[in-house]
Amino acid sequence: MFTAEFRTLSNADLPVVDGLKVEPQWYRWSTRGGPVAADIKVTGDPTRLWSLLALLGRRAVIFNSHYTPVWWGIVEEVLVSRPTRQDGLSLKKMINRTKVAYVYEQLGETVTGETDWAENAESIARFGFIKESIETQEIEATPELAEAKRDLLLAEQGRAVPISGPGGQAEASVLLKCIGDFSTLAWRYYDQPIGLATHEADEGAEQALGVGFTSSRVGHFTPDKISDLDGKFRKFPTGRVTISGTNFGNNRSTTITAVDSRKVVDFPTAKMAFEANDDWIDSDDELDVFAVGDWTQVTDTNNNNGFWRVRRSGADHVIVRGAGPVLGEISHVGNIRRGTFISVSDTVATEEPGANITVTLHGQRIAQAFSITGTTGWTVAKIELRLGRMGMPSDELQLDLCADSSGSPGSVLESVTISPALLAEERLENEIFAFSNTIALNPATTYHLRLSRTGSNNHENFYLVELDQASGGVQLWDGTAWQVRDPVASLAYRIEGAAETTEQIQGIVAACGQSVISKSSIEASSGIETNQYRDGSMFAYDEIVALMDAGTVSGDGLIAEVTIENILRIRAEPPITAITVQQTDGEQWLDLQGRPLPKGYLPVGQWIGCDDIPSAVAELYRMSPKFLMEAEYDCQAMRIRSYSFRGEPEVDDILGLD
Amino acid sequence: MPHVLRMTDGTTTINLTTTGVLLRHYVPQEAKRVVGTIADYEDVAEPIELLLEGSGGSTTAMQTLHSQIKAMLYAAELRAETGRGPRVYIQYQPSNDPINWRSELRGGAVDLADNAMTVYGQAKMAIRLTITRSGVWEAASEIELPLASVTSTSPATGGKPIQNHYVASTAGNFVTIAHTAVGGVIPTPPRIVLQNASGGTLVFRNIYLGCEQYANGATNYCNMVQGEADQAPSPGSDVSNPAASGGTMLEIEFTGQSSPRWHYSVAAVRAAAGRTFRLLVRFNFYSLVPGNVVWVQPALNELSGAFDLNPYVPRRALEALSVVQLVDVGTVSFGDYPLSAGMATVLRLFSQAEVTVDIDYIQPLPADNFRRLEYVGVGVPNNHHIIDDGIEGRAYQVDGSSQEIPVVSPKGNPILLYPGKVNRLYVLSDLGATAPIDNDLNARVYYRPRRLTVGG
Repeated sequence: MFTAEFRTLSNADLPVVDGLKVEPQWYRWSTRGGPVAADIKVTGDPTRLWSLLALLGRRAVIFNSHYTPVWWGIVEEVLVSRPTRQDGLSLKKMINRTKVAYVYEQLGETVTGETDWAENAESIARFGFIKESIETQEIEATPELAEAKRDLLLAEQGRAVPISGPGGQAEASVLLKCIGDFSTLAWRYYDQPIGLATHEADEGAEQALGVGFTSSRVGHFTPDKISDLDGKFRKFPTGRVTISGTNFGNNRSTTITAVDSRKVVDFPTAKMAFEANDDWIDSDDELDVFAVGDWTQVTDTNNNNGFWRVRRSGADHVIVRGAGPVLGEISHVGNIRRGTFISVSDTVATEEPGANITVTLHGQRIAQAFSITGTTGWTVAKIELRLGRMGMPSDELQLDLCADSSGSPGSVLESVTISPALLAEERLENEIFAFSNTIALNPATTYHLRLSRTGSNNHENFYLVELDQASGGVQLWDGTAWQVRDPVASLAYRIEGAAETTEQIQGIVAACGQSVISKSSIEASSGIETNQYRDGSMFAYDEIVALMDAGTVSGDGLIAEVTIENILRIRAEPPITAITVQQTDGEQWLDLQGRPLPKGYLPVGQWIGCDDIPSAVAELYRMSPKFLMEAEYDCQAMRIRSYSFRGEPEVDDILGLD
Repeated sequence: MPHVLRMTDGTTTINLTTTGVLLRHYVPQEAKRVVGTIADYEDVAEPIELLLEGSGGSTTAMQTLHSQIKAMLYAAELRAETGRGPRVYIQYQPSNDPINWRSELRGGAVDLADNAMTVYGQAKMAIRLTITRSGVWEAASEIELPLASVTSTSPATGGKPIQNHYVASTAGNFVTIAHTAVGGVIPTPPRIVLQNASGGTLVFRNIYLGCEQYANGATNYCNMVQGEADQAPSPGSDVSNPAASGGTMLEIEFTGQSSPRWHYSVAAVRAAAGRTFRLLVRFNFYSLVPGNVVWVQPALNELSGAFDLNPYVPRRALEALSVVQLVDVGTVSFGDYPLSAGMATVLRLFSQAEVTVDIDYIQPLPADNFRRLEYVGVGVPNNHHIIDDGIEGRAYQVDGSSQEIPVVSPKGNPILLYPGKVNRLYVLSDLGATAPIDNDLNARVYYRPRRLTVGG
C-alpha cells in the first residue's frame, strides 16, 4: 500500500486532517529530473477535504509499503471533486512576477522594449517561490500600455488561479496533481551577465590592417598626388597615411582623399613620337591612358629615359615635364610606365621618384579598449570579430589581449593567430579567435584588443576589419604611435567566456532553484565548455536541459535527479555493461536475484536487459540492453504501467501531436 | 455461560442476548486480507437475526430498543464516513471464551422479518440486522505486556528502561516480549507508551520504532552494530569519544569513495532471507564543506566481495547545513536464500571534497514493521509520555494533567506484534540535529489480541 505525506518547503510536517484517506494513484520518473509527475487522491469527509487546498505549492512525498520514499515533488493543482462539479486551485497559470515586452512605431521607427519586473509580494511570501513570465504583447503597445497590462496580469494571475468544471466523481474526493522539483526550474528565467562583452556595428565600416610598402618608385606631384609607378596604390584603402623617406620635405602624415584604381600601363613608345621640348604625340589617339598628375617612367629609348610627370593630357598629345626637355625621337623598343596614385589632403612638393620612400596606411595595428560589466570576473575563451582580406597575405592575423598602459595597449596577456586562408576575400565575415580560457578579465579594469599582422605590411595583400562608426574608441598604429582614428569608430567585437556545462548547471540551480532545489551535486564533469552568458530570455529548465543534452566530452549522456533532500544530482549514465535489472516478456521487472523489483522502484536511468532476446540479435540490433529514459508506476495495480527506452518514439510523436 | 452479543459506543451498551432480545442467528464471517498489506482486512457484511420483546408486553419498550439499534448503527456509519463521534463496536463473547471480543461497526441496516408484524401486538418483533464491521476481532480490554530490557532482564509489566543505543549488558534500545505473551491469531498493533526518563525535558524531532520477530533465543540481522566493529578491508580507525555508544567510534577520512563494512553471521543473514531492512546510522560527526555533499548508500556484499547485491537504493545526502547525527540511510534487501552464507553490510560513502565521517553505530530495523513519530511540540518534560496508539490510530503527548496533546505525527503503518513469536521493539530517538545516547526512556506496551473469527 502506498501512502503520501506533505511538508512545507522548509520541511515542516503538514499532517492531513484525521479521517482522510490518502491514496497515491501513479507517479513518473525521468532521466530529466528524477521524479517528474504524480497524482494523489484523497477521500473522506467532504467538509474536511477542503482543507487540502492549503497543500497547494507544498511538498508531497509518496512512500511504498516499506515506508521508503519513492516519489517527491510539489503539489501543483488541488481539485475538489463532488458528484456534479469540480473546483480547485492551480499554480499552472499563476504568475507572481512578470514583465511585458512591447513594440511600437515612433517617428517612423520601430521601438522595442520591456517593462521593469513587477511582482505580487503577497503571493511570493505565501508560497515561498517566484513564478515568472515574460509576456509579449500581440498588438502594438506603448510602454504605458505594457505596464498597465503587466499590472493587470499580476492582479488576475498573481495568486493561485481558481479552476472549475463539470463532472466529478460519485465519491467526494480531492485530486492532488503534483510535479517534480526539477519542473520548477521552468518557473524562473535564467539571467547570467558573466561571460560576454560585446560591441555590435550599428554603422559598419571597413578598416584595413597592415597596408603599406617601401619603394624607390614613388613620386610626388604638387598639389596633392603621390604616385607609384608599379601601381601599388591601386588597392589602397582611404584613411590616414604616413609618408617617410622623401627628399623634398614630403615626410608627413596625411589623409588619403582618393585612390586611383586604374591598372598600371606599359605604353610602347613604338606607337608614338617624342617631340621637343615637352610633347608626346600619338596619331592613333591612344595617349589618353595618361592623366594630369601622373608620374611616368620612360625606359629603353635613346634620348628620353627618365621620370616624367604629365602636365596636360589628351588622346593625341601629352605635355610632360621631366628633369630636362623632351628630345625628338622615334623609339621602337622603348616603354612608358604609368602607375597609380593617391590624392591626399595635404599639399605636397613635387618630387621625382628615386628616394626610398615608405608609405604606411594608419592601421599597422588596430586597438580597442574595453572593460567588462558586473562585479565578477571571468576568463576569455573566444573573441569574435568580423574580418576579411585583400589578396592572400603570406603571414597570419594576430589578435592580442592586452592590459592597459595609459589608455593604450600594454603588456600582452594572450595572443592568438588565424590563417588568412580562413578569411573571406574582399568581404567581412565573423571569425573566431579561440583563447585558452585562462586569462581572467576583472570588472572595472581596462583591457585592449590589438590586431596586427605577423609579417610585413603589403600594398595588395592585407586584412580588413569591421568597425562601427556610430561610436569611438578604436586606435590605429601609424608606425610610431597610436592615433585616434578619423573618423572615429569602434571595433565590432564579441568576447565570450566559457565554463564547463556541468558547472553552468550548478550556477543555474544556485540562481533559480529557489527554496525548492537547494543545491546541486555534480558527480560527472562534462568536460565540455560553452559560453556561460545568458540574456534571461529562457527558463532555467530549458537552459539545463540544453546543457545536459550535450552530454560529456567522452560521449556519455547525463542524468539529472532531484533527490529527496532537494539536491540536483548530475551524474553520467552508467556503462552499458552495468545491467542490474531484467525485463521479461511477461512485463516482469526483476532484480539481480531474479526477484521482482522492490514495490514502487522505477529503474529509470539504468540499462535494462531483455534476456529472452537472442544475444546475437540483441547486440546486432541494439535490442538489449536498453536504456530506460522514463517510467510510470501505477500505485493501485502496483506495477510499472508505462515506460520509454532511449530511441523509441513517444506516443505523441507517433500521433503527430505537439 | 451462553454467548454474549452487544453493541456499544463506550457509553451506551445494547445487549443483544439478554432480556428483551433473543439472538436467533449470528455466525461471524472471516474477512479477506487487503492485498499488499500485512494485517489489513476488508470489512465484512453479515446478518444478525434477533427477536425483540417488549418488557412486560410493552410495544413501546420494543420500539425503543429497535430505535436504539438503528441509532447506534447510524452513529457507526457516520463515524466511519467522517470520523465524528465515538467508535461503535459489536462485542461477542462465545460460551466459555475468556475474552470478550470486539469489532468496529461501519454501519448497517435493520429490516423487519417477513412476518414481523404478526405478533407485533404481543410486543414481539423479528428483525434482521445486516451489519458491516471491521474484518478483525480484537479483545475488548487492553492487556499490558510483560517486557524485558537489557538493563532489567526479568519480564514484567509496569515499564522497562531503555537507552538510545546498545552496549551488551549495560544499555539497550529495545524491549523484548516473550513468545508466549502475545495471543491471538493475526498480527496486532500495540499501544506504546514512552516515558521520558532522561531527567530533563527532551525536545524530540524523531522517534523511530521497529519491531522484529525472533525465533526464541536466536539472533538476527536487527542487532545494532558499533561503527568500530567494522571488518577488514574497511577503512578508517577507531577513535575514543565519550559521547559515542561504547565510548568509541569509527573515524574515516576520505575523498571520492570509502566503503566501510560490517560482517553478519550466517544466522543473522538467514533470518533476513527475503526481507528488507532500514538502516539507521548514527554519525557522530561529518565534515561540512561548502558546496560539497557527502552521500551515503547502503550496500550488501559477499564477505570477501565488493559486488553490490543491493543496487536499488538511492544515495542519501547527509544534511548540508548542520550535522544530523541519526540518519535513515535507506534499505537493504536480502535475497530469498534460507541457507545463505554470511554477508557484509557496507556503507558506501561519497564526497568530492576531503571529509571526515565518524560512524557510531548502525541499527537495522525491519522495513515492513517500521514507524517514525515526528514530534512537533515544545518538549516532553521528564516523566511525561509520548503515546503511539496503533490500536486507535493516534499518536500524541500526554501532559501532567493526563491531557492529550496532538503534537506527534505518525509516519508509516502502526507497529505490529506477532502472536507466538518473540517480539523485540526497538526505539531510537533524536532531538533534531543530535541523537544523544542518553535519551533514556521507560517503555510500556499494551495490546489487544486479534483474530479473524470468534468461536472458531
